[in-house]
Amino acid sequence: MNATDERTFLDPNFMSYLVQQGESFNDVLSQLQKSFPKLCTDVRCLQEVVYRYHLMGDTELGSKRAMEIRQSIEVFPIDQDVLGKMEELMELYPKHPPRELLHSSVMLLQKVRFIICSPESHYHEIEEVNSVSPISKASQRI
Amino acid sequence: MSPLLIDSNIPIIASEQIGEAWATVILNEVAKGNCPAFTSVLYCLEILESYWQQEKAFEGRVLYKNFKSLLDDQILPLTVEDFDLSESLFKRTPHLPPRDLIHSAVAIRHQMTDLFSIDGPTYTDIEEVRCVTLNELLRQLKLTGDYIDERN
Repeated sequence: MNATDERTFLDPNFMSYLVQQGESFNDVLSQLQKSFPKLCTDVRCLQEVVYRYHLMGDTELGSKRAMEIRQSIEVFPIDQDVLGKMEELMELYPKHPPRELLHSSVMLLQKVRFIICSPESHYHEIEEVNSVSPISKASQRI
Repeated sequence: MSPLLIDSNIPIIASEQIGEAWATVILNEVAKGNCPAFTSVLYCLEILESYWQQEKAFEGRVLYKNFKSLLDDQILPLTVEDFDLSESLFKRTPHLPPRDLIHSAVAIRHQMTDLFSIDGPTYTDIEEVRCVTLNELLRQLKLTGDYIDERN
């Protein structure tokens, strides 16, 4: 299945995963944009990037990286409709992490079918979305 | 009185697990319509995530639903403009945690100045918002009594 023809949601945990493997953040973002030209995310993801780096003691770098994502791809808001959709998903997947249900809800409302996520995430358990982990490409710089 | 932006830590400490009476009193005043209040989608999400991390997902969902239904259509969204403003606030106050910056940004963009949170001291570093004290709030609501000693 080719995800590059349509909008694809980016969960930045994918980028964190690759950075931990030694990849350069900017290279990963740039290559993702080439492979998935209609890349998108939501504003909570941006905030998660900042917060993740804050916990590692480098809020400034987190802020810089979140802003690079913000300026590169489409960013969706989180509103009451998203919470409503998330509540529907919580009924279906009561044991699933709330953050993944949130981002899946944004995708469903924005009619985005594919999500790029870390292989350690659990999106594959959510029937309503299709997870993509282009790790094999990543080893060749995506 | 000015509307309050209520932090997720208020319903959490009013919850059965913690049961701070003063927090319950304030939320009851909100429910009765005596205290104009808002919250944000981000605060609502924090309730779910906080309980999830404590492996209390069910309790988190119950509290989330109760808090959300209390404020119903007074739940502010989170937008990319809020994020941009939080980044500007970060440049001014880099010592503050990102959580305080994004919540302050949401408040500022909705012309709200008064936050009600147990994290009062850090919010005071952002000049556009202020954290209302429990004493002040009880006075505004014409409530007095034992609650003041519990908090202040």
